Amino acid sequence: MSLTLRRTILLFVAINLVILLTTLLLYRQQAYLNIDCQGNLTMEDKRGNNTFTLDSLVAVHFAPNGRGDFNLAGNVTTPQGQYAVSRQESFKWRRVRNTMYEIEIVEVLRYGLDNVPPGTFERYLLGIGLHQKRLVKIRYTPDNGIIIGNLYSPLFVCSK
Amino acid sequence: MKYLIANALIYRPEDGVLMQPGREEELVTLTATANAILSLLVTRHGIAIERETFLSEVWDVRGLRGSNSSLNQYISILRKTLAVFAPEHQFIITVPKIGFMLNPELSVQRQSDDDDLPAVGLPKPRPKPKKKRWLWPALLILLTLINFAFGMGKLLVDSAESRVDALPLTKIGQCPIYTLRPLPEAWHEEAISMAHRILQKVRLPSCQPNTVFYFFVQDSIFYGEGGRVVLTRCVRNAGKAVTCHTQYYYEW
Repeated sequence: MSLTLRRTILLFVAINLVILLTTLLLYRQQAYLNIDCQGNLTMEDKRGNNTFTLDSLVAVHFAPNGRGDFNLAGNVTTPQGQYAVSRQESFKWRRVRNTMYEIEIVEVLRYGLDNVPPGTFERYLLGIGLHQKRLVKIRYTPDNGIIIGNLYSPLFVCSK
Repeated sequence: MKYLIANALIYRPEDGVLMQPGREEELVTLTATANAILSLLVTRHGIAIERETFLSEVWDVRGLRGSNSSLNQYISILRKTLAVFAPEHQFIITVPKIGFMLNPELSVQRQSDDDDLPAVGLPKPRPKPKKKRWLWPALLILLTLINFAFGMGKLLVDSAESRVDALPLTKIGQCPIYTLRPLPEAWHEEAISMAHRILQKVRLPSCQPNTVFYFFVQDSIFYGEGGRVVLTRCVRNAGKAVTCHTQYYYEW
């Protein structure tokens, strides 16, 4: 094998390594979320004739280290009464596939204003209780709004 | 320049190479001294060459010191080498008291490098298979392209999957309403009516500049089984959503 050919091969091996490393780096960046956004969410759940409404401001943070939190501030209405909600729920997250992520609530921090009776949220909003897991789908609107939802539908859209 | 000797071997004086016609890959390369001797014999084919001439034109011209003994030794080596190619011929003849000569009974044909060898009685030399010099670079380029296509392709596909196709459904004033997934045309009218009802119900601010709506309806709604309906109103700044308000209904 001539020296020129050997050099050419080495050059191509180097180019391929650069492509591979760049791809891995970009893939890693893509897989590791770095989101900080907020949006308003008004939800109404009429299942079982027990109307639950939530009118809130939600701030969501996904850090690249696999941790994150969402802050919820607003009002909750249930057949039992009207309450103020103000809490931070911290979670761990991991990528399941493509746009699908699994989050696990690791801490619920209720602020002073929060007077929602225990169990209320868990009853209407499945998967946001302590140590509960749920799958979330994260996608983007054409104008870079962040759609956070589950397997079946979007839940809300937030913006940076 | 090359010589075809006795139709049995090819001799190339430039590099001292001996080979059989048609079997160029099996060649023998002579030493510089042996080559100088054979070159002299071939160029003076049929003429007896004196020992002094050999010593002068082979050794002296190259600043070396030759002798009869070394000349004999090289002649012996040459005879053995030539005999490998055509043992039936005696190539070098000793001329007593003079020196040596190339057998005058043998034919010596001078050829240019491009000449084909005579076909009579000889196998036509096979053309050397051309080395496929482009093969390696082509393979490497192909490998690089595959690497690039798969790597970047995967990233692009992932990136495309993460962005929803917002499809225009209708407009409220100047504000477009997009669906976050394709809806059958048959459902458009009902979906538009649903979006209007939500907007009337929640009394969201009317269509302001740079406002867009994103709408999602679960199929089960159209089958009258209830389900999820989501309407988001986003206000853009320089093409980017800066504030969004979502209305989410479960069991619409």
